[in-house]
Amino acid sequence: MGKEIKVCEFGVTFHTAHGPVSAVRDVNTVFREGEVTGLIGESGSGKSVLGMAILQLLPANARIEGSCLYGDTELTALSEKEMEQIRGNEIALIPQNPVESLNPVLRIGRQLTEAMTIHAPGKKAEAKQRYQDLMSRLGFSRPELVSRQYSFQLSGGMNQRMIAVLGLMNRPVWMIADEPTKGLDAILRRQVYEVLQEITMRDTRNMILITHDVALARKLSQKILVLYQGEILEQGTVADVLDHPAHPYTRGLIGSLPKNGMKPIGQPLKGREDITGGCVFYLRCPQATKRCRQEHPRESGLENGRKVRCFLYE
Amino acid sequence: MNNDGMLSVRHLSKSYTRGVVRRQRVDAVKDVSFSIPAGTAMGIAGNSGCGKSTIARMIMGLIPPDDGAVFLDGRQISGLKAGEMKTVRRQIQIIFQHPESSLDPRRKIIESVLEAMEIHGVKQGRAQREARVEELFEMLGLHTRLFQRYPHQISGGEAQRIVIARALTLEPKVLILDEPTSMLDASIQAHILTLLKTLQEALGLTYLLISHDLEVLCWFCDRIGIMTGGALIETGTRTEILEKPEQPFTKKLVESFFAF
Amino acid sequence: MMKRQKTENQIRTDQDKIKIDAGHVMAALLLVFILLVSLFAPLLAPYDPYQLDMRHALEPPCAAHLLGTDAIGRDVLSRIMYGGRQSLLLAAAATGLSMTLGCIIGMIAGYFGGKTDLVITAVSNVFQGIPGMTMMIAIAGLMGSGVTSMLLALVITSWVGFSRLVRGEVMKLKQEYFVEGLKGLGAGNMRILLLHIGPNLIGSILIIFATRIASAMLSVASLSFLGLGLQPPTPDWGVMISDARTHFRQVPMLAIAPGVMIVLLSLSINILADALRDRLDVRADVVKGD
Repeated sequence: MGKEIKVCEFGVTFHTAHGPVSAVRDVNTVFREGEVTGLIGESGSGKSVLGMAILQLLPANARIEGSCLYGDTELTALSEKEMEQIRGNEIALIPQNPVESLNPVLRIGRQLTEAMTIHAPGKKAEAKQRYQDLMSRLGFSRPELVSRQYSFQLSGGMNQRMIAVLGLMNRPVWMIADEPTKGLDAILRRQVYEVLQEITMRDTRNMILITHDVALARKLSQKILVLYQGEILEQGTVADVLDHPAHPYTRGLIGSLPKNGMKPIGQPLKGREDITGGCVFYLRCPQATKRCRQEHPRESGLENGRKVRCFLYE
Repeated sequence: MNNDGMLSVRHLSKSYTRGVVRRQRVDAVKDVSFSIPAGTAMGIAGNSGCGKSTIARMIMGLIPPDDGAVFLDGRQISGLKAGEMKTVRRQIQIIFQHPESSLDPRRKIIESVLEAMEIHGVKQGRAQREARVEELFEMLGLHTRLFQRYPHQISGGEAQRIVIARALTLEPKVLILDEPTSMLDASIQAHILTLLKTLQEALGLTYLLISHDLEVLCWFCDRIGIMTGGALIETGTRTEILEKPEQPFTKKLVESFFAF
Repeated sequence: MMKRQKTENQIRTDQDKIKIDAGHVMAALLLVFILLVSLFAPLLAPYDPYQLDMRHALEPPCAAHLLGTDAIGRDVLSRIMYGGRQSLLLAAAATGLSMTLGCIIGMIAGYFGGKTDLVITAVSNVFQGIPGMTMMIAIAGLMGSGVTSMLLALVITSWVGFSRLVRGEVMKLKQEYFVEGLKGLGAGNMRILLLHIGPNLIGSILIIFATRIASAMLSVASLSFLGLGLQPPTPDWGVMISDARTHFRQVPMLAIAPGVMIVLLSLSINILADALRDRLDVRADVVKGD
């Protein structure tokens, strides 16, 4: 059953009126089965674009380069029809904005069971049973009551849990959670964390967690990818990357968390003009050298399968 | 509660009526009192919809309170006439949550910043005013090339620092910060909050920071108040809140944070 | 470097950017052509549009009269050239007046809200409820035909369109943080309305202004056709069609030429208004960095 997701020389470019804009570049990584991979980065880092590119859920002007293997299947070569079979059935998405992801004029029960009956029209009873099971497992005490309601009648936390149920309906092999805690307050954030933990314990451990929330990624994932302006700057195990960050950006990001005293990352330093071709972090990097300005660093391999895109580790 | 702090509120209340058929009264803010000594920072923590932003708007006189009063440096500022309120506005300024929409989208940055001084007649002539803005931009690490940009051409972190610079042109005594960094990335948040700390020391500012993020409040504030359902249920120093929370809600909030 | 800094949302905005469309260019050229010809009609027209010549009445198109002559021998081409001047001017003036009135009323209703808004909305609903053409015929009937009554009729029937739009937009803008921020700075209502909300309305007002001018043109033509608007012998497209009723079986050009002009003019204005809407919808040229 298990299949890993392997991306090679992967990139996404948007073709705009101002010419091509590269959102994600040169991504090489393996999302291994049985582990949660945390994709962390700040806004504009391309983390959501990378996640959506795996599912090929991108705007029409986006072009995907490179390869994305799911088991033996090359996802980038599939037709839209074949991709529809993968989405939901094999790789499910927990989208960023639960309320906008549901149709406001359809009852919840119908929308959720439909997720299953679309792929298997004969299984209405089974779909209802699965809905009941999942809803009660994720903390809805009376699923049949919620089934008659509409998404706007539920609270933010309930919607977030419900959208997880939607993703789980077809027993997917993989789960991609896109910014599950964005804009939530502390108590809701904790609820979402518990839901995700429940999913990784009982449904599938194969998960890609896209988030800006470093603490959440630390609690849930085994592997971490750090994205900055479209490139993976560092990847490795949680302990390696978050406790002993190697790349200057990762170090800065971790240091800027409130828990660690909120030491800001430098702003673009004076006298360093905008560059093209060098390291993406050059402008803000406290350890940048002349070389970082001219040459684009490759990923250097360290112990434990860790990779860092920085000349300090060549 | 004494009102000898730089900013104090006493028995502040506000309720709304909701619904057309079955009219309900919803208490947005219930009998809130606190006082912030000059030069210190107080934080208010609470979840979305707990009424913390309503307090900020009442202090600023943007919405009238149903009951209670606001005092600035010992003088009552709630219920003032428009003309009197204008002079008060120089001394107390507010920074909102959404940096991108805090500036008029059709005006250049410099125009938006200068406007504050124009309204209050601070400094004479454009050259002097621009010089002041340049000074503040330098202090906040902003490049003067942003002057000629429009709000959609700058980043959220830049916008938020520009709004802070604009508030500072009036040389206020109190800054109300209503979730100033909750829409921004961690590294930008760290940058802005560190700047605000430096400014507090340099200019002797008094802060009221409203946030849902207890960690941020603990780092930034001298005292923290916890709000839920419109009421201020507990106030204390950072240590008191974190180590000896009295109310069950405070306990739950602290746990939610430090579960991570 | 700057290209990399674009966020995902901005990319989406760029993608929707409008390309220059050949149809829009054609419409613009046509409109400019009609406006120029109308403006310079006294210089361009081969004949005096009022000059009778009974010997050459109802002539089909020929070398001397490219579009033929009408029942009393006036040159149709010259009358076509003059025929847009009065109705265009009237339509522009009426729409301009409606816009001013509608903007003021809409801004007051939207910004101050409450009881003021309730009263204004109630009154607007009454005006909105009256069918435009009926209202215009009634006013022309009461006040007699003529320029003043037509102007009044047009303004009365179209200010509501502006005030409703402006009211809605102002209510939306009022919620924006920058407006609240300005109040916090101590800015007065007049400053906020005139210097901040006003400029943010220009785009949407322009669009509706353009569409309204086209429909006002049509209204003027219709009223003139019914004999309630501009009066013969004024060279006007609506009047010309009206005059042509008795003879257009023999000389169809008499009705076709002004009819085509009315269609072309309102079509080109409508196409341009659409193009304008598409363009202003997008916050063009979103590029971060230098």
